[in-house]
Amino acid sequence: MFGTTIWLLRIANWLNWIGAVLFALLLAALLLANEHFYPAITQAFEVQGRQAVEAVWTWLVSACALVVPMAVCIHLIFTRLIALLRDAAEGRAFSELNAKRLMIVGWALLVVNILDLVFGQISIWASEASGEYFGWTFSLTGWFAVLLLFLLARVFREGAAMREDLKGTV
Amino acid sequence: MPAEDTHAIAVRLDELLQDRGMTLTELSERIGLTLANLSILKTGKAKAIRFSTLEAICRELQCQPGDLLNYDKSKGDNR
Repeated sequence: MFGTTIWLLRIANWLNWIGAVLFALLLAALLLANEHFYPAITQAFEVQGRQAVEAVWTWLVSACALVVPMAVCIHLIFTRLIALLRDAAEGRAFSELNAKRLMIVGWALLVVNILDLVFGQISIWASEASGEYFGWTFSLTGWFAVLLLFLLARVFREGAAMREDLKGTV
Repeated sequence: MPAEDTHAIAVRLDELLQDRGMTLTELSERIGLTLANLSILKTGKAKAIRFSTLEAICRELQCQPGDLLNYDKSKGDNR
Protein backbone atom coordinates (compact mmCIF):
# COMPACT_ATOMS: atom_id res chain seq x y z
CA MET A 1 0.00 0.00 0.00
CA PHE A 2 2.79 2.42 0.90
CA GLY A 3 4.66 1.54 -2.30
CA THR A 4 1.66 2.31 -4.53
CA THR A 5 0.95 5.59 -2.74
CA ILE A 6 4.60 6.64 -3.05
CA TRP A 7 4.50 5.95 -6.79
CA LEU A 8 1.22 7.84 -7.19
CA LEU A 9 2.71 10.82 -5.37
CA ARG A 10 5.83 10.67 -7.56
CA ILE A 11 3.69 10.66 -10.71
CA ALA A 12 1.55 13.49 -9.30
CA ASN A 13 4.71 15.51 -8.63
CA TRP A 14 5.93 14.96 -12.19
CA LEU A 15 2.54 16.09 -13.50
CA ASN A 16 2.76 19.08 -11.16
CA TRP A 17 6.07 20.17 -12.73
CA ILE A 18 4.91 19.44 -16.29
CA GLY A 19 1.86 21.62 -15.61
CA ALA A 20 4.07 24.32 -14.07
CA VAL A 21 6.38 24.38 -17.10
CA LEU A 22 3.42 24.60 -19.49
CA PHE A 23 1.92 27.48 -17.50
CA ALA A 24 5.33 29.20 -17.37
CA LEU A 25 5.57 28.93 -21.18
CA LEU A 26 2.06 30.32 -21.53
CA LEU A 27 3.02 33.16 -19.16
CA ALA A 28 6.08 33.95 -21.28
CA ALA A 29 3.95 33.92 -24.45
CA LEU A 30 1.30 36.14 -22.84
CA LEU A 31 3.92 38.66 -21.76
CA LEU A 32 5.98 38.67 -24.94
CA ALA A 33 3.13 38.67 -27.46
CA ASN A 34 0.19 40.13 -25.58
CA GLU A 35 -1.29 41.86 -28.64
CA HIS A 36 -1.53 38.53 -30.45
CA PHE A 37 -3.68 37.13 -27.67
CA TYR A 38 -6.27 39.92 -27.64
CA PRO A 39 -8.33 38.62 -30.61
CA ALA A 40 -8.26 35.09 -29.19
CA ILE A 41 -9.38 36.38 -25.79
CA THR A 42 -12.22 38.33 -27.38
CA GLN A 43 -13.37 35.19 -29.16
CA ALA A 44 -12.89 32.69 -26.35
CA PHE A 45 -14.31 34.73 -23.51
CA GLU A 46 -16.87 36.67 -25.55
CA VAL A 47 -15.82 40.00 -24.02
CA GLN A 48 -16.10 43.38 -25.73
CA GLY A 49 -13.91 46.44 -25.43
CA ARG A 50 -10.20 46.97 -24.85
CA GLN A 51 -10.55 47.32 -21.06
CA ALA A 52 -12.44 44.03 -20.73
CA VAL A 53 -9.92 42.17 -22.89
CA GLU A 54 -7.04 43.60 -20.86
CA ALA A 55 -8.77 42.49 -17.66
CA VAL A 56 -9.02 38.93 -19.00
CA TRP A 57 -5.37 39.10 -20.13
CA THR A 58 -4.32 40.28 -16.64
CA TRP A 59 -6.34 37.45 -15.09
CA LEU A 60 -4.63 34.91 -17.37
CA VAL A 61 -1.15 36.33 -16.63
CA SER A 62 -1.85 36.33 -12.87
CA ALA A 63 -3.18 32.76 -12.96
CA CYS A 64 -0.07 31.57 -14.85
CA ALA A 65 2.27 33.51 -12.54
CA LEU A 66 0.62 32.02 -9.46
CA VAL A 67 1.07 28.47 -10.77
CA VAL A 68 4.87 28.64 -10.39
CA PRO A 69 5.03 29.31 -6.61
CA MET A 70 2.07 26.94 -6.24
CA ALA A 71 4.08 24.18 -7.99
CA VAL A 72 7.01 24.77 -5.62
CA CYS A 73 4.67 24.39 -2.63
CA ILE A 74 3.08 21.25 -4.09
CA HIS A 75 6.57 19.85 -4.73
CA LEU A 76 7.42 20.44 -1.07
CA ILE A 77 4.20 18.73 0.01
CA PHE A 78 4.61 15.69 -2.25
CA THR A 79 8.32 15.11 -1.57
CA ARG A 80 7.83 15.39 2.20
CA LEU A 81 4.86 13.03 2.06
CA ILE A 82 6.92 10.53 0.05
CA ALA A 83 9.74 10.68 2.62
CA LEU A 84 7.23 10.31 5.45
CA LEU A 85 5.55 7.31 3.82
CA ARG A 86 8.93 5.69 3.19
CA ASP A 87 9.76 6.02 6.88
CA ALA A 88 6.32 4.70 7.84
CA ALA A 89 6.84 1.66 5.61
CA GLU A 90 10.07 0.95 7.49
CA GLY A 91 8.28 1.26 10.84
CA ARG A 92 9.86 4.52 11.95
CA ALA A 93 7.15 7.08 11.27
CA PHE A 94 7.34 8.73 14.67
CA SER A 95 10.53 10.76 14.53
CA GLU A 96 11.55 14.35 15.03
CA LEU A 97 12.43 14.53 11.30
CA ASN A 98 8.92 13.46 10.28
CA ALA A 99 7.41 16.01 12.67
CA LYS A 100 9.49 18.65 10.84
CA ARG A 101 8.34 17.27 7.49
CA LEU A 102 4.70 17.63 8.54
CA MET A 103 5.39 21.20 9.65
CA ILE A 104 6.86 21.92 6.17
CA VAL A 105 3.76 20.37 4.55
CA GLY A 106 1.59 22.56 6.81
CA TRP A 107 3.47 25.76 5.90
CA ALA A 108 3.44 24.86 2.19
CA LEU A 109 -0.30 24.27 2.33
CA LEU A 110 -0.73 27.60 4.10
CA VAL A 111 1.09 29.34 1.23
CA VAL A 112 -1.14 27.43 -1.25
CA ASN A 113 -4.21 28.73 0.58
CA ILE A 114 -2.87 32.30 0.56
CA LEU A 115 -2.11 32.04 -3.17
CA ASP A 116 -5.65 30.76 -3.68
CA LEU A 117 -6.99 33.82 -1.83
CA VAL A 118 -4.88 36.10 -4.04
CA PHE A 119 -6.18 34.26 -7.11
CA GLY A 120 -9.73 34.69 -5.79
CA GLN A 121 -9.28 38.44 -5.40
CA ILE A 122 -7.88 38.72 -8.94
CA SER A 123 -10.80 36.64 -10.26
CA ILE A 124 -13.35 38.87 -8.52
CA TRP A 125 -11.65 41.98 -9.91
CA ALA A 126 -11.38 40.49 -13.42
CA SER A 127 -15.04 39.40 -13.34
CA GLU A 128 -16.12 42.94 -12.47
CA ALA A 129 -13.83 44.56 -15.04
CA SER A 130 -14.65 42.25 -17.94
CA GLY A 131 -18.23 41.21 -17.30
CA GLU A 132 -17.14 37.56 -17.69
CA TYR A 133 -17.58 35.40 -14.58
CA PHE A 134 -14.37 33.73 -13.43
CA GLY A 135 -15.53 31.07 -11.01
CA TRP A 136 -13.88 31.10 -7.62
CA THR A 137 -15.35 30.25 -4.25
CA PHE A 138 -13.81 30.58 -0.82
CA SER A 139 -13.31 27.27 0.96
CA LEU A 140 -12.39 26.64 4.58
CA THR A 141 -11.27 23.05 3.93
CA GLY A 142 -7.69 23.98 3.07
CA TRP A 143 -7.36 26.20 6.15
CA PHE A 144 -8.64 23.40 8.39
CA ALA A 145 -6.15 21.04 6.73
CA VAL A 146 -3.31 23.45 7.65
CA LEU A 147 -4.47 23.49 11.27
CA LEU A 148 -4.76 19.71 11.26
CA LEU A 149 -1.24 19.33 9.84
CA PHE A 150 0.29 21.56 12.50
CA LEU A 151 -1.54 19.55 15.18
CA LEU A 152 -0.42 16.30 13.58
CA ALA A 153 3.19 17.54 13.57
CA ARG A 154 2.82 18.12 17.33
CA VAL A 155 1.44 14.59 17.75
CA PHE A 156 4.40 13.20 15.79
CA ARG A 157 6.81 15.16 18.00
CA GLU A 158 5.17 13.66 21.10
CA GLY A 159 5.27 10.23 19.48
CA ALA A 160 8.97 10.66 18.70
CA ALA A 161 9.68 11.57 22.34
CA MET A 162 7.70 8.52 23.55
CA ARG A 163 9.54 6.29 21.12
CA GLU A 164 12.87 7.66 22.30
CA ASP A 165 11.85 6.88 25.90
CA LEU A 166 10.78 3.40 24.91
CA LYS A 167 14.14 2.83 23.22
CA GLY A 168 15.89 3.10 26.58
CA THR A 169 13.38 0.90 28.39
CA VAL A 170 14.45 -2.63 29.18
CA MET B 1 22.93 13.27 26.17
CA PRO B 2 24.23 14.30 29.58
CA ALA B 3 21.09 13.40 31.57
CA GLU B 4 21.37 9.82 30.34
CA ASP B 5 25.05 9.50 31.25
CA THR B 6 24.86 11.00 34.69
CA HIS B 7 21.63 9.63 36.18
CA ALA B 8 21.92 8.87 39.85
CA ILE B 9 20.66 5.28 39.72
CA ALA B 10 23.48 2.78 39.63
CA VAL B 11 22.80 -0.75 38.36
CA ARG B 12 24.75 -3.46 40.18
CA LEU B 13 23.99 -6.25 37.76
CA ASP B 14 27.67 -7.00 37.10
CA GLU B 15 28.41 -7.58 40.80
CA LEU B 16 25.29 -9.71 41.28
CA LEU B 17 26.22 -11.88 38.31
CA GLN B 18 29.77 -12.31 39.62
CA ASP B 19 28.45 -13.29 43.07
CA ARG B 20 26.14 -15.89 41.52
CA GLY B 21 28.73 -17.12 39.01
CA MET B 22 26.37 -16.44 36.14
CA THR B 23 27.07 -14.87 32.75
CA LEU B 24 25.05 -12.15 31.10
CA THR B 25 24.17 -14.51 28.23
CA GLU B 26 22.88 -17.10 30.67
CA LEU B 27 20.73 -14.54 32.46
CA SER B 28 19.38 -13.22 29.18
CA GLU B 29 18.32 -16.75 28.19
CA ARG B 30 16.68 -17.37 31.56
CA ILE B 31 14.65 -14.18 31.67
CA GLY B 32 13.89 -13.98 27.94
CA LEU B 33 15.46 -10.57 27.41
CA THR B 34 17.86 -9.87 24.56
CA LEU B 35 21.55 -9.68 25.36
CA ALA B 36 21.64 -6.19 23.85
CA ASN B 37 18.94 -4.91 26.21
CA LEU B 38 20.54 -6.58 29.19
CA SER B 39 23.86 -4.94 28.28
CA ILE B 40 22.11 -1.55 28.14
CA LEU B 41 20.87 -2.20 31.68
CA LYS B 42 24.23 -3.43 32.90
CA THR B 43 26.14 -0.43 31.59
CA GLY B 44 23.66 2.00 33.15
CA LYS B 45 22.46 3.34 29.79
CA ALA B 46 18.83 2.29 30.31
CA LYS B 47 16.32 5.09 30.77
CA ALA B 48 13.69 2.90 32.44
CA ILE B 49 13.16 -0.65 33.62
CA ARG B 50 9.90 -2.59 33.39
CA PHE B 51 8.54 -4.26 36.53
CA SER B 52 8.41 -7.50 34.56
CA THR B 53 12.16 -7.26 33.80
CA LEU B 54 12.96 -6.38 37.40
CA GLU B 55 10.81 -9.26 38.64
CA ALA B 56 12.51 -11.74 36.29
CA ILE B 57 16.02 -10.62 37.26
CA CYS B 58 15.20 -10.78 40.99
CA ARG B 59 13.70 -14.24 40.51
CA GLU B 60 16.74 -15.61 38.67
CA LEU B 61 19.38 -13.91 40.80
CA GLN B 62 17.51 -14.54 44.06
CA CYS B 63 17.73 -10.91 45.10
CA GLN B 64 15.65 -7.87 45.97
CA PRO B 65 15.21 -4.82 43.67
CA GLY B 66 17.29 -2.87 46.17
CA ASP B 67 20.21 -5.22 45.61
CA LEU B 68 20.13 -4.45 41.91
CA LEU B 69 19.56 -0.69 41.99
CA ASN B 70 21.40 1.87 44.09
CA TYR B 71 20.81 5.59 44.42
CA ASP B 72 24.05 7.57 44.11
CA LYS B 73 23.49 10.61 46.36
CA SER B 74 26.48 12.57 45.04
CA LYS B 75 25.19 12.42 41.47
CA GLY B 76 21.61 13.10 42.54
CA ASP B 77 22.60 16.23 44.49
CA ASN B 78 24.46 17.66 41.51
CA ARG B 79 21.26 17.85 39.43
